[in-house]
Amino acid sequence: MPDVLTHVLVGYVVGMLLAVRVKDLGPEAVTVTMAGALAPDFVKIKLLVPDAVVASTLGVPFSWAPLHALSGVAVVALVTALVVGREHRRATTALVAVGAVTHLLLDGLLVKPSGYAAELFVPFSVYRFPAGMVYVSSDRWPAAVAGAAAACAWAWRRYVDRRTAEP
Amino acid sequence: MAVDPASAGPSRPWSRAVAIAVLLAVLGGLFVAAGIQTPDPGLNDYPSEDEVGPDPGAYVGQQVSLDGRVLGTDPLRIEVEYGTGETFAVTVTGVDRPVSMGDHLNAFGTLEAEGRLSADRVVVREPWELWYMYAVSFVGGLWVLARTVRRWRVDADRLAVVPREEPLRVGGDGDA
Repeated sequence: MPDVLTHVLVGYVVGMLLAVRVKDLGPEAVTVTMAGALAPDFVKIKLLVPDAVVASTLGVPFSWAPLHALSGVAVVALVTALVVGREHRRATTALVAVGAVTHLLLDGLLVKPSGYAAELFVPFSVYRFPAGMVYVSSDRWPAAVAGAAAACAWAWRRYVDRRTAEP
Repeated sequence: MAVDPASAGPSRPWSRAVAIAVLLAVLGGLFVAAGIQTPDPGLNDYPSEDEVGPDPGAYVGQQVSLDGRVLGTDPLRIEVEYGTGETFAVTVTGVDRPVSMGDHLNAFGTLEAEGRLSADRVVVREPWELWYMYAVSFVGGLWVLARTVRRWRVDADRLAVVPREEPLRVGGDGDA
């Protein structure tokens, strides 16, 4: 991952673009997109509770990796859909999925010593795409670039709101 | 989806609870299925700490990816953590950039002996860079949490999360 702040800022930008373009999507939709952009990093629970700890406690093989892959993202998006009110279900599922996909794409650009990115298809395949090799997760500039983009999105949103408010 | 929006009452909390339980069970199944998988270099997936740690001898001559804290620089040695907190030390050769004690090294290369990795490529991070990453990540998480509380609420009658008509205001009038 780039840092979580970068992911969330990109989620904000994408959410804002969608909210300006699509009627019925408001600030709450931007929040959902941001949450989706953060969701794959739920896998960082492994820093607190490593795979091997769960495996030895439960006595079964175990890996958190699906949380950071398409399979886990799909489940998380569907659970979110069932938590929100019925009328928000479709939009919420879609926005969580869009946010999470931005996360997985950004992570595909990371520098990896092996030259290959994270597994997207676990537990169905361990295949890894070649890594983008653009930044490491502790680089500072991705958050700065994403922050600038977020500021532009915010300003654009204000501009559009004001223009539509005029008679 | 398990619940058809057009049918039945306003929110059907029981059906939703069952559907959520089923999805969580599926997620649990995914975790276990992923735990059974083993690395396959043919699919660009190489053994790492958790595989190499318990039995380094089995991986000598193979390409592996190892991650650890720098113990010493002459020769360059890292402490690799695996499993439930066990560690082993590996000497890393072929690193072409300056490394200091306490740095975090992520190395990919060939395991030449049980405790020796010939690196093809490394990522080096200083301790402060990791702290920076944790700190801004925490800020990112907090921002999403704050926005969620501000923009959404639990509708107790329907047992569902719905957007607030008016965003929750705590003190000032910041919008982000």
